[in-house]
Amino acid sequence: MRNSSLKTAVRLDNGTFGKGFWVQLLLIKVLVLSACSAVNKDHVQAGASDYRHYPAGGGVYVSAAFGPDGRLWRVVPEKQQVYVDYSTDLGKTFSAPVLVNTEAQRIKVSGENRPGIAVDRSGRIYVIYAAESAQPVTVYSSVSTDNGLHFSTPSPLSDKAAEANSFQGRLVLNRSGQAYVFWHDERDRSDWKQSGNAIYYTTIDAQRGLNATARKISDTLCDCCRIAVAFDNDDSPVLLARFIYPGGIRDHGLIKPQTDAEKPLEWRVTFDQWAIEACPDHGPAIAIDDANYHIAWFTQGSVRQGLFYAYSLDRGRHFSNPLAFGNLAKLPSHPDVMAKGKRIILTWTEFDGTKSQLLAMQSNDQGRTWLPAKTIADSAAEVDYPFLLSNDEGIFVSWNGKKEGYRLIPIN
Amino acid sequence: MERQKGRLPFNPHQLNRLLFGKTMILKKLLSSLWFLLLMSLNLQAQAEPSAFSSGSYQQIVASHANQPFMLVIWSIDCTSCLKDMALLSSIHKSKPELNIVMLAADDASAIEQIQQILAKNQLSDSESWVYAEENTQKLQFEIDPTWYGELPRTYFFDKAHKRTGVSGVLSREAYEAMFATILN
Repeated sequence: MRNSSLKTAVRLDNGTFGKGFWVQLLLIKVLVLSACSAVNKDHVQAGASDYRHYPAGGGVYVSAAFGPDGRLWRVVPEKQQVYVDYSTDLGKTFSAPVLVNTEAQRIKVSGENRPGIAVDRSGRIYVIYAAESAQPVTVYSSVSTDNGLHFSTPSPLSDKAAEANSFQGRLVLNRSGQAYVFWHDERDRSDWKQSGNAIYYTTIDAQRGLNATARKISDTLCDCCRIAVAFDNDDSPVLLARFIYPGGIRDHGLIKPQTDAEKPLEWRVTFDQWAIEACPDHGPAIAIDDANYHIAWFTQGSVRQGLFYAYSLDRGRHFSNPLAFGNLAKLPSHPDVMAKGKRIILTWTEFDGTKSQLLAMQSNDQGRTWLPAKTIADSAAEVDYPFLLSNDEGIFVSWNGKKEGYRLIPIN
Repeated sequence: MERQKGRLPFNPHQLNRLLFGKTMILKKLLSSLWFLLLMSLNLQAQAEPSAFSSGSYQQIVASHANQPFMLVIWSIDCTSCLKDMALLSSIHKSKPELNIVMLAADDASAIEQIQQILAKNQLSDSESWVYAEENTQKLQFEIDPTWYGELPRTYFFDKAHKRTGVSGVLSREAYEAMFATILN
């Protein structure tokens, strides 16, 4: 199964020299490479999902997406570099990573502020990630039009990137393949002690590149929670995000950007009454299928606490009573949701003090009733959030971890 | 989320450019050297935060035996935490007898920024720690198995070490109410 270059990588680690020697060698290599501002990608060997073949050992916060040909594409950030690779065997082995940013940058990454990748029907690969620039943090984008052999020089997404922070970008393709990116933007903040960011977005035109003007769609976004996006039947984006409502309540709202000049429609959909001035670092999830909306979120509100799911049959106007899921004794966190016809899938992580567990739960009747939750993987080391992906072969959870590496786990 | 970087007395990149022109490798190496030099100068000014790893929480609690204290968990990337700092600074000034333990939920690469933020808020003389394990969830769990990691998170310990944990920025009144409980 494993190819020869992977074996080389493995032998290196288990060789006669101690681990420290190889770490030092790697460090020297990274220093030399970054000093030259160009990584020769031939030095990077293709390998398995454990990142041993990566110059600086890969990263925990990795995003993945299926391409039109069923290949699984990943964007992998390291401290100074962002790479893209792909797998043709559902995540067991990966291609040699291709460098996106040839100029080293200080990459900014966390569970909420994560890189993004999407591949359109023609095979164009869009990548976003956050890095330090003139501002502490800026969302950059890059596109490959030659099947991932090369990437365009990354450029800031925000037209005010030099003046204000932009971060927590969310890259999504609608059904016709239009790339949208939504992000947190601080350009309208005169006083950083006031609460809440703005959401700005832009579209990336496959032929002409970036749509130059970023458009604002909302204010009072909770500073530390990433935005969730899905597309309705008419291919228009629907956002779910944590907002700051009067009284410092950090509950969720839906936003529907409208066509030019019209104000976005925006309304509150969760009523947990979480009054807190803090960074929950815990964004929600949304899926839409056949105009039915499915949402999942975390709260510590006075009304309810933990993870919850709800569905709407009238395009988000009304939602079902929140359904609690996850074991409250094990800190259930970071849900994702997927809708495929009548089949709805939820995934999330739990932690028992030693191990992180990956759980999944399914409904076969559009979210009305649910089968029992199942533990489908675990890890005793640092783990990323889980994400649901699908291709013609099925539905999977994409889950990355420091120890086990990348895993693509099928949902049966 | 992200905040202004800690301010250096000058921009090392600009200085390099001025001094050494366009020699790329030299520039990169020198900028690293400048960075290390500035780091070391800065570090001499105040004690470095201690490394918070497995067992450190128990160690902190034990070192404050029979004393009330306040454990403040924060991060350089947490806007709410930074809003809270001015008030903490004023509390520290008005109640120097109260032990404040500052724990940054960042990693070692943030030490310079941690120290700058603490110094700016006259909290440099407080006991200071920084997360020193990759799996920060384990550290969180050791501190409090019911805490999801939201920041700021403040724990108030009375003399007998009965503990109350609160998430989010607190008002002066909320602090005062907690002090009234733990200091008596």
